Amino acid sequence: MALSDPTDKLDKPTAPMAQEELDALERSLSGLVGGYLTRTRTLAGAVYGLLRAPEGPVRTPQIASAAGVPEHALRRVLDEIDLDEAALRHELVRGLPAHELRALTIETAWIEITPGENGKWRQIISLHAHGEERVLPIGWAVLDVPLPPGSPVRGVVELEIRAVSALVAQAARDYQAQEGSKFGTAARVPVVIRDPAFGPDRALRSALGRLTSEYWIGVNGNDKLEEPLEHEPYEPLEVPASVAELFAPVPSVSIPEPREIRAGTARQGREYLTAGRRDGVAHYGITRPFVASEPGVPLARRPQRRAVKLTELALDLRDTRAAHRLRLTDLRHPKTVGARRLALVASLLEPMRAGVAQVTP
Amino acid sequence: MNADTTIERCPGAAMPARDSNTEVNDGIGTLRQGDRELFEILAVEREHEARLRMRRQRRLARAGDELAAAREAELAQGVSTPALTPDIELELAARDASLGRREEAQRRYEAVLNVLEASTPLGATAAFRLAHLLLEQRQHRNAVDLLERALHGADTSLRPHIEFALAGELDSVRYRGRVQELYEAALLSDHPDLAPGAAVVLGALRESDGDLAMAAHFYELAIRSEHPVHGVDALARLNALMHGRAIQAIGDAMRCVPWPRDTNTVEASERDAARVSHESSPCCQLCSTHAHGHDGHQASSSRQFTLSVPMYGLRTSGVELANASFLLGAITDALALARCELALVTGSLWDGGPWSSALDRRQPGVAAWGKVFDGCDCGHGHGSGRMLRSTDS
Repeated sequence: MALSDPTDKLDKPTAPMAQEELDALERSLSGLVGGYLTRTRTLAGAVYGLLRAPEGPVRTPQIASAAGVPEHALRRVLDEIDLDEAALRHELVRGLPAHELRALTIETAWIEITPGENGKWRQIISLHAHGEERVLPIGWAVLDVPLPPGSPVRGVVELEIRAVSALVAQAARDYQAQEGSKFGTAARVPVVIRDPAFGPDRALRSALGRLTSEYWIGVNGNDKLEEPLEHEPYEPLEVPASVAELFAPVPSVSIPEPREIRAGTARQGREYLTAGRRDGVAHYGITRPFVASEPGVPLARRPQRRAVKLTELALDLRDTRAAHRLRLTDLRHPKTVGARRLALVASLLEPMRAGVAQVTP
Repeated sequence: MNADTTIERCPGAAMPARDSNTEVNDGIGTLRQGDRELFEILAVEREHEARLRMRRQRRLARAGDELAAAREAELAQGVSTPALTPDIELELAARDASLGRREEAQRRYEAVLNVLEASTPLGATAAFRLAHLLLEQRQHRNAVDLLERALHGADTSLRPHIEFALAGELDSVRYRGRVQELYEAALLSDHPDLAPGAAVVLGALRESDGDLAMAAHFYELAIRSEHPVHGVDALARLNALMHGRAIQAIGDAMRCVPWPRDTNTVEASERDAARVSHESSPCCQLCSTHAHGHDGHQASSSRQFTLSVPMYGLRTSGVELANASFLLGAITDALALARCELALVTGSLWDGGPWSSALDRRQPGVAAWGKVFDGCDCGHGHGSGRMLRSTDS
């Protein structure tokens, strides 16, 4: 998907597939996941059916009907058979080489599967590769949770963190598999989670810190940071009531000086609280910049400078809303594995249309 | 979360003192033992109000409404006490100091120090700020005592500030070891501004001691930190050091090989170069050996050399590392006349430094020079010089 006009394309649903595109996708899938005709036809048909379904929730029978494939076959292909998902992901990764990567972003979307007090919720987590000119979804995770978004239940949060970590680690492996040693030189790709839903959770930051050298995680303005900040001797000593109060008022043009989060007694693995404005709205985040330095050489203001750059990058990136565009938020497939596989196959469509993936016919 | 309803006790804050003076000050009066609960409630209310007022004061000051901010500060003063809200007291004291009310600020800091020991983080902050006030009043000794006390309770944010301030106030000759120790601690703290600053000061201290290799090392640390102020300062100092040493070396070389006055000429050229032609008059066997062009330096021993005039000036502005290459050219010429003298200087400067590679590039036989002066007894100190890197081994 070209990003020449991102504001238009990212906000609109993906256009339904034409018959020729269905055939092309089927042929491409045949090359990726094996030469089983029925399997590839069913998979391509699932995407075709999902995008052609009328507005509102889309269930498996509707998709099967629109695609002209038997419902039981569709369920079997999506939920049961051994499908080479890695091959699909590698194809996606090939659409945006590592040296073109600006960042990897995580987005989340929520669906209320079963409404009501005892309802069930589904969380769709997607990992996107952002380049200068295009952005591609390269990994998906689907979680069924018994609680609505933002529930401060430790178990749910840990599940989300594991899913996010797994996606990032998977992306690194996929790029490594595709590019081998070449990926090593481009491996310093920041991970950006603009959605402040995760909050200043330390567990997520620790998990990402083990996987990537740089990250930027959005936080809400009214979040309160549990860890102290490094401060100057003449600053007010009262702990600020919220993140927003630290930066108020956030400048409209520039990025204010990031605030270093104190980590024990040493200034190692520094993290910074940052803020910035985009489209008039203030955004806040916690970032860990990477600065190469020789032993003994003071880091000085280099981490702050890098933190500002990362904040500018995070504010510059657009939300791709891929789950909405590909109508995955309308999908009511009962099993998470099927929903994930369908998301992965549907992700091939846009690169194929843009001609950036080799799945073009 | 409503910020205004959040009540927090500052980590360093003590519970309200039980002595009668404090109670009278708090406006609570004499309370019986059974009124303890009421006392606690009143204390919490006062603390809450003091914080609320100061929060408002900050917001109003940020918005530019100075009058309203001053009113809120006064209201905060009415309810804040050192025992209950020491952090608010520190803020009020800083405000007093910035408004020129030094006595009032000093009184507040001292009151906080009476309640909290300097070994607590808040007490250390009070001591540090009070020391600054005292320094303004030239009460040097008291200020140093306070800084020493503050050092015990300072947290990781405040500690490098205290170390830097204390090192700056101590006599760097009398307490050289302690001063270096404090600056080294500030350097190790990796504070964004103070660590590179400490590296520059340490470099200057080592330079004044004559330890040029370590001076260059510390300047390089500051340069590599890329600090916008201290990095540039260190670069200028390092260049000045290089120029100074080069000039001294050339001067020494010329003393080693005296110039006949009648043949000394200076020609004007585009680069104001001084071409000096002279007859060598070796003062020792080594110089003589060199002057006669032994060990393959025939071209350099032609008894003529060219030096660029700007080299004589200590140009500290706009000097860049690239100049080192040019400098090396000039030094090499001079080196051809008195290599032992220069090797003595450059050996300590370049051994392992950023110029060693440049030197190696220019002079493959660099270590040979080192060997030549070892054992020289001409009186110019050649024999005691350090060897350059053994690149020819």
